Amino acid sequence: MFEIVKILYRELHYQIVRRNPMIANDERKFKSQLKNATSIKRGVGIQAGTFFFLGLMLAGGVAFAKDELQIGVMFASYAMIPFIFSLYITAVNSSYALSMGLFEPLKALPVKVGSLYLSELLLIDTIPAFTMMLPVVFVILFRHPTAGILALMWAVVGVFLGHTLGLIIYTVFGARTSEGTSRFGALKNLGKLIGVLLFMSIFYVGNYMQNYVREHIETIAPVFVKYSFAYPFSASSIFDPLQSLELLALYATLFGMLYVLTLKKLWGEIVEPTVSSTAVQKGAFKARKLPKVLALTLKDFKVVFRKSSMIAGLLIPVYFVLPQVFMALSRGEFSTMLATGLIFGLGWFSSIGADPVIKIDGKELDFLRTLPLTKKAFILSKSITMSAIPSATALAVIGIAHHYNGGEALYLLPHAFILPMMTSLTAMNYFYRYKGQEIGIPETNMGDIIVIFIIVGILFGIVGAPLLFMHGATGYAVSSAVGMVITGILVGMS
Amino acid sequence: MIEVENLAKTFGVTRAVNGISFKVHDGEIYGLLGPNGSGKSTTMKILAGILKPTAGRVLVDGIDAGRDPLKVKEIVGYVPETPVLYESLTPVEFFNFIGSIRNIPAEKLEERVNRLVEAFELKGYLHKYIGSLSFGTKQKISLISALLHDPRVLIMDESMNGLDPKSARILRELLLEFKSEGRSIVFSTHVLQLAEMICDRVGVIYNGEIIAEGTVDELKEFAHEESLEDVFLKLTESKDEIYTVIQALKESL
Ligand SMILES: Nc1ncnc2c1ncn2[C@@H]1O[C@H](COP(=O)(O)OP(=O)(O)O)[C@@H](O)[C@H]1O
Ligand SMILES: [Mg+2]
Repeated sequence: MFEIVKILYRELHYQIVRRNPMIANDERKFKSQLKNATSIKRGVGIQAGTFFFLGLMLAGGVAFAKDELQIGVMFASYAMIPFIFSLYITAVNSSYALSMGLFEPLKALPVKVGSLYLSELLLIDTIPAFTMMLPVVFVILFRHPTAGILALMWAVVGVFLGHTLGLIIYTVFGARTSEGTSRFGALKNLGKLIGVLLFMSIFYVGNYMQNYVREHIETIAPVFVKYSFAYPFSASSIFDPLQSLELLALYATLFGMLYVLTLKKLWGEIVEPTVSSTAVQKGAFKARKLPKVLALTLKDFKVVFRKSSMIAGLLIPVYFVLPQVFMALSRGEFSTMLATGLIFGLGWFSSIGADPVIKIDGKELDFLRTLPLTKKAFILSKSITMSAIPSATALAVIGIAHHYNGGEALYLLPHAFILPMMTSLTAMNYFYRYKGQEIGIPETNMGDIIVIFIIVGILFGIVGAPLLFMHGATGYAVSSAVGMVITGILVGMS
Repeated sequence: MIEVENLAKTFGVTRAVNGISFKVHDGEIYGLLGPNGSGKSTTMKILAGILKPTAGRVLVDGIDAGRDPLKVKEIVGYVPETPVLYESLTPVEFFNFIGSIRNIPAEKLEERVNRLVEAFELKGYLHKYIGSLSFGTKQKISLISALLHDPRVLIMDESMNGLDPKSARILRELLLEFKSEGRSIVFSTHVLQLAEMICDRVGVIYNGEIIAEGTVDELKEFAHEESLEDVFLKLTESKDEIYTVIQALKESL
């Protein structure tokens, strides 16, 4: 029995790795990733280790919490994390398991396949979410044994809730095979994007909540107590054993039943897939023409937003800004100077986005090569794709700064576009001009990224210099003008 | 018109194409026949401006494919062996993408897509992700995408294999129409009956070299064989070999 689950696990993760263009297009990365991902011990072990480490950081807060109330509230905030994680991983993995026809080869064999395989398969990957809670649970166990045991049970229930809800979401929204662009298509992509963002910001959100809880403990506690039946607030009941046990029993029964029902439904979908019941729009083809470069960029974005593995790569620069923004927000001030620094930092860090952007087109590059496409158009389109998310983030930063400081922040508007664009053009020119690549997927290594980092650093220094010597609007105007000239030169070089 | 002169292509130590020459005139359908690994796909990619030749020259309507691949790509329609399409786009999005890159006027694009979609019965698939379509349907999309810019030269690499009989028939008619309009078509195939039916001339390629060329009838006469299949097997020295294999199979069963 476990033998079959092991094979299914291998196949599932082999396919996930193979379908991630960020990895599959890089032979070396592919091989090493495959080795880890296809073994349950290694795959789950490495992840569990990482999450345990994250958990240690969270546990610090609980260790120094001053009283039971604070521990309870903190634990309830943390309980959200494994819940979200297991929800996300379950929804994603069940979608993979089904769309890849993982169970097809088994259907032809004389084995009695059942929903249990599916359940085991999906549960294995939620283990890391659980290990993340362990350090917190240990600390509570050490300080208050009874509460600690209850905390452990809540951690299990939290993962299980996320898992069940993930199954439900998948069964309701995504179990149909052969999907087209439909009303739910955009919704699903948005869901994916939110999922990825949530996952990336989990830790910062945790940190932020920790500070927030410490400062506002009096006003928050009543809310947690009042809604204590709803997860994750219910987890704050760990110091009230009787109520906590009641709630645990309630959750276990309710979601246990839902779990069995959903699994049955999902299994039915595997045995006999309902093919494409979405109402597909009929009607003639309508042409929509764009300039070459924009058509390429639009294509990039469609591909990215329909593959969650790619969004994660492109959002890396956002990841660097998040902690600063959270910190600034919790302090309640956000100076224009800080915003300026953030936007320069954001533009600089967006060099990391070069790798995922280059890998958006996988084997489809063979198709691009059949088109009369100049390298210049290709480089420009990739640069726009690469700078879009950093620019949008920069705009958001300006928005926040504007909210706190008024009009002054708007001087930064040109920089929101110029700086990421300078970085992107530098990176793409480096890969496709300096390293002399054809339209293709160049090998990228850390050395290349560092070289780009240095070049961009120098260019940013030139653009930033006027801000140090001239004040107010003049400084920003001169700085933007210099940036525009450099951008123009980079466009010319491409 | 396509002129291939002493064309050669090596990959590392592999000599994929070994000095071949042939011509395809306007209004002619030329079939490239050869067993797996004989260099068909490599040749066709060079004709389409996708690969650069190691030696020799290819002129497509007078344009050097090695020197000016962009110009060649503008006038050539190339259909690859296996469709490589953006799986996360829908056919509508994909056709529009090609239209924008190739700078095809909107009305023209609309008219062509709608005509071809009608012909190949793809209407119900227009708004589904390409990744969710069957192999044959993907092949049709790939074929249509090579026709959108009204190419003067069509290069098709074993592109008929996945098509259902009806679509194959429609494609055949389409090729004949192309031919009557004076365009050149090169295609490779394993389906010898098809080659026999529509090719004006065929070249048999083996180990990167063209070992025989002519009309189907000329080849039959030359090889003293009844069918193109026998000609093909004889020329590629597979006939005796196949007989031995079949004998061995019979004995073992
Ligand atoms: N990109 C490549 N790198 C190395 N060898 C290749 C490459 N493409 C083709 N070959 C080799 O060139 C030879 C001819 O291949 P191909 O043109 O694909 O043959 P065919 O299409 O007739 O089956 C084969 O031996 C193949 O392995
Ligand atoms: Mg081939």
